[in-house]
Amino acid sequence: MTEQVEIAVVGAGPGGLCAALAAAQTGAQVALIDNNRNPGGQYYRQTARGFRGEPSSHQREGAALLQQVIAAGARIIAETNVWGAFDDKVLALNDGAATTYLQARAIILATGAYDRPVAFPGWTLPGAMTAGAVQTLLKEQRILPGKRFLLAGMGPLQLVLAAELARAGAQVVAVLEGSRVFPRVLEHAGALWGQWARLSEGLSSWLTLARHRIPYRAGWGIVAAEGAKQVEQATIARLDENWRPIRGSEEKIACDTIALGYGFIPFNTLSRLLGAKQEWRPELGGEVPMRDAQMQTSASGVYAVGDCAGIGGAALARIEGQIAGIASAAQLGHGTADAIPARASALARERRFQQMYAALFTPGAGLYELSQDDTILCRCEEITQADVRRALALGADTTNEVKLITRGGMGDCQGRMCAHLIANFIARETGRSVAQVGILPPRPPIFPIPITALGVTR
Amino acid sequence: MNGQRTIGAEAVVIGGGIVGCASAYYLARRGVKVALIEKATIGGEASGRNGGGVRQQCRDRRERPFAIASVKLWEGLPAELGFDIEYVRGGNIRMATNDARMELLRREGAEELEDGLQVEMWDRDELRRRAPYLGEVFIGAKYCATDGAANPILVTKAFGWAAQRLGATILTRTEVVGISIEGARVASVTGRDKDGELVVEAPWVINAAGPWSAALSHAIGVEVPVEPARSVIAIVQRCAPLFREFISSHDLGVYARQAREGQVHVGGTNVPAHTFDQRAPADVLEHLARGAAEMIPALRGANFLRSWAGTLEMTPDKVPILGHVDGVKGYILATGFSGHGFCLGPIAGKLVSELVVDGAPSLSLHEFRLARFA
Amino acid sequence: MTRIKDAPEFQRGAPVTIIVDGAPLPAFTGETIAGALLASGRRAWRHTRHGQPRGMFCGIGVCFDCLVTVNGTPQVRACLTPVAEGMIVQTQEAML
Repeated sequence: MTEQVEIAVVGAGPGGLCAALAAAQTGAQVALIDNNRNPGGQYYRQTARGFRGEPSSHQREGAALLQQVIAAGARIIAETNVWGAFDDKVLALNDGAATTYLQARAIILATGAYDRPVAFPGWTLPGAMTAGAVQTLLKEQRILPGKRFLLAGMGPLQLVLAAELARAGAQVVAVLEGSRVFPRVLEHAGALWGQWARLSEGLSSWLTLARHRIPYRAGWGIVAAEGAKQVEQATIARLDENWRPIRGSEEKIACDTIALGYGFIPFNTLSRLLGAKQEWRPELGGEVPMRDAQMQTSASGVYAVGDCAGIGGAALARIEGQIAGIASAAQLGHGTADAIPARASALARERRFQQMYAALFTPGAGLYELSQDDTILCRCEEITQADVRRALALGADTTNEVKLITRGGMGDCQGRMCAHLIANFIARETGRSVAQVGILPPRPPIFPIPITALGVTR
Repeated sequence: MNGQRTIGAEAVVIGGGIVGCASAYYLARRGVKVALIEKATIGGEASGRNGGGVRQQCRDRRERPFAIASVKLWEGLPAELGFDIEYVRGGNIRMATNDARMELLRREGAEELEDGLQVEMWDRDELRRRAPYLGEVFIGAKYCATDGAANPILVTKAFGWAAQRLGATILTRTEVVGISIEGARVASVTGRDKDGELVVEAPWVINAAGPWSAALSHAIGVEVPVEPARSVIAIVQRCAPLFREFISSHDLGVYARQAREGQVHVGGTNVPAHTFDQRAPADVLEHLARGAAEMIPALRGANFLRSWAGTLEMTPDKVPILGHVDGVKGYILATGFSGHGFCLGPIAGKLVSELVVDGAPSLSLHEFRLARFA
Repeated sequence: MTRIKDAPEFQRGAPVTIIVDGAPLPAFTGETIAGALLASGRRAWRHTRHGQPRGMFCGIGVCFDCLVTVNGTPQVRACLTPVAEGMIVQTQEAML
C-alpha cells in the first residue's frame, strides 16, 4: 500500500523541523519522518521520556519548534526508519512492525551526520567511543560512561562537551585539539561576527574549563590507547601542521574513557539512493550531494539540507531547511519563492562560519596515518590494515574491491565506520585521490529491517 | 597522445566473469598466450552477485553431465587456485510443499540416478530429521550430497589471479568496442580504457560477456539470442550457524545459503524481470522476506541487512551457448548460462581451452550449439 | 560508570529492573540498555569473533558494537533500546 504526500521530510533535527515548518506554513501537505521516539536529532536531543527536570535551552528550542511544526499541520511519523528509495520518489518506511511506502512529490533530506571514526592502536578497546556517544548519554540519560575522560579531536564542540562533563562531576584529564587554532582563528575573525550564541556558548565553556583546571592543548592528538580489557591510558603527542605526531613529544596520560571528537561524516546515503549526483568535499565531511541555491539536488524534487549535505551546524541547517521548505512548496504551487532572498544574509553568515570551521578544523593527512598494520580498520569483521594491504597487493584499488576481497565493510554497519578509513589508506598507498578510490555503494535496506516487518505491508 | 596500443596474443577472452576467467586460466595452463578484457572489474557482475550454489541436481538433462564434470573440477580448485574460495560441500536440498512437486522431483531423481548423479528422496519425516531448521510447510525433498556452495566473488577473482600467475594478461576497466574479422576468421579485439584505444590481435576470440555478449556479437553479424534478466539477493544479518546446505523451494519461490561468517543469502527462483536494471525493487525484497521467514522459521527474529541485484543472460531454452560459430573461424561463444552458470564455470573454461588447443572438446557441445536457434 | 546526581528537581523515570545474564540490574524508565549497563559500571558486554571485548562506541545505532539479545531476539542495539520492567537481556558472544 503506497500512501501519498506532497512533501516528505526525512529527519527531524534542526534542518528537518525548519523545512517541515516552512513547507507546512504554505499549506502544503507535509510528513516529517524520524527514527527517534523524541524527534530532535542530535542537536535538540531531548532527555528521556519519564525523566523530569529543567530542560536545557536547546531542548526547549527543539520542543517549541516541534510544537510549531505540529500546529502548522505537518504529520509526524516517529520511530520510523526510511530504509529505501524507489522510482518516482517512493520512500520505504519501517516502524519495526510493518513496512509502508510513501510516495512524495518532493523530498527534503535532513538526515544529519554521524561522528567520524578514527583508527589508531587500541581504538577498539571498551572505553574508546565517539564524542557523540558521550554527549548522547549525558544529554538524554544523564549518565557518565566513565570516570576519567580524555577528549581528543578538534573543534569547539569538544569545549562544550568538556564543560558539560565537568559540570556533571566527571574528571576531564585533557582536551586535545588537533588543529593549531591560535593564531589561525584570528584570520577568520570576520566569520565570527554575528555568531553571538556560539561565541557565548564557547566563552561559557572556556570559563568552565578554566574553573575546573582542565588542560586544553592545541596542536595535540591521540596516538594510541592502551589497556588489558578496556582503556587504561592513552599515548598522546604534539602534532605537526599535517597532524602527524612529532616523535619525541609523546606522553602517557591515564584515563578510562576517550571521547573522539573528529567531526562528522554526512549521512548522504538516501540522497545517493535517490540518484543525486555527489561530490567529494573533505572540508565538509566527505561525499555530499551537489545542490543549487534552493537546496535542490540533481535529482529533481529531491532537496538536501543540513549536515547531510555538508557539515555546517544547526543554525545553517535551520536556514537551509527553511529555504528548501519554501522552495519545494512553491514548486508544488503552494506559496512563492519570494521569501527566500530574505534568508540570503543569514545564509551567507552561516556559510562564512562553515567555511571558517572547515579551514580551521579539517584534519590533516596524519590523522589517517595513526593506524598500524595490526590496527583494526573494519570493526564489524575485524579486518586489519594488513588485510587491506594484502588486498591491494592482489590488485584491488577501490574501497569496494577491497571490501569484496577482505570482507571489510560487509558487516552489520555496512561500512559506516570503516569506509573512510579504508579509502584513505588505499589513497595513501596507491597515490590516488580519495574521490577516485570511492566509498561503498549504498543498497536497500540502508538500516537493518526485520524480515517479519518487511513481508508485512500496511 | 593517445596512440594506439597493440598486444599480440593467441587467444583473447571477453568478459571477466567466472566463465571468462576460468577460460583464461585453463588456456594459460595449456601454455596459450591469453589476454582477458573486462569492462569493469573481475567478478563484478553476475559471477560475483549470485547465490554461490555449486549444483548438479535439478538441471536440464542437457546440462547434467557438464555439472557433474564441473564438480569434479571444483573438488580440486582450492588447492589448484591457491586461495580459500570457501568451497563447502554441504549438500543441496530441493524441497516440496505439495504432492505435485514431490512427483516432479521423484521423476527428476530417477533420471538423475540413470545419468549417474547420486540423489535421494526424503519424505516428511526424513526431511524433519535431516533439516530440522526448515519450516513446517514442506512435505518432502530431493537431496544431493555432493552439491555445495562457494564464495562467488573470491572464486572468480581466484581464477583471474591464477591465470595471471600463469602468464595471462588481464585488462580491467577496458570496454570492448569492436571485434575485427579478416577473411573468415577473427583477427583482433579493440578495447577502450581511460587512456584510449588498444587492440589485442589474436586468432581466437572467446565471447564470455554474459548479458553483453549479444551486442558485441551482433556487431560482427552473429546473432546471440540472450536477454538480460534481473536477479535479486537479500542478506540476513549474521546469525548463529543454522544450516550448511544450499536450500531451495520453487513453491515458495526462494532459495537460501548461509555463508561462512553467518550471513544468510536469500534469492528468488521466480522468473526474473527482463531488464539490465540492477536495483532491487521493493516487491521483490518483500517476496524474499516472506519466503525466507516461511522457509526458515528461525529467521523470523532476524533482519535483512542489504540487498543487491545482478544481470543474468537468458537463452530461449535456458541452457548455455557454448562452442564454435559457423562461418566465423576462431570465434567461440561461452554465454547464455541463464542464471545457473556458477557451477558450470570451471568446466566451461576447460572446454574452451580444449576447443582452442585440442580442436575438440572432451564433452560433446552439440546441445549447446548456437545453430540450434536457427 | 555512574548516573549523574543532578539538582533535586531533576528526577529520573520510574525505577525498573531488567535481567542481564540472569542477574537483576536496576535501571530507570527512559534509560537505554546500554545506559543502564554503563551506569552499573559495565563497559563491555560483547565479544567479537576473535574474542575482543566491545561495548558502546557510537552511541547512536550506527556501529553495531553494542549488540545484545533482548527477550530472545538477537542483534539488538543496546544503545537504542529503552529498558522495560522484566526485560531479559543476554549479552552476546560471537555468532561464530
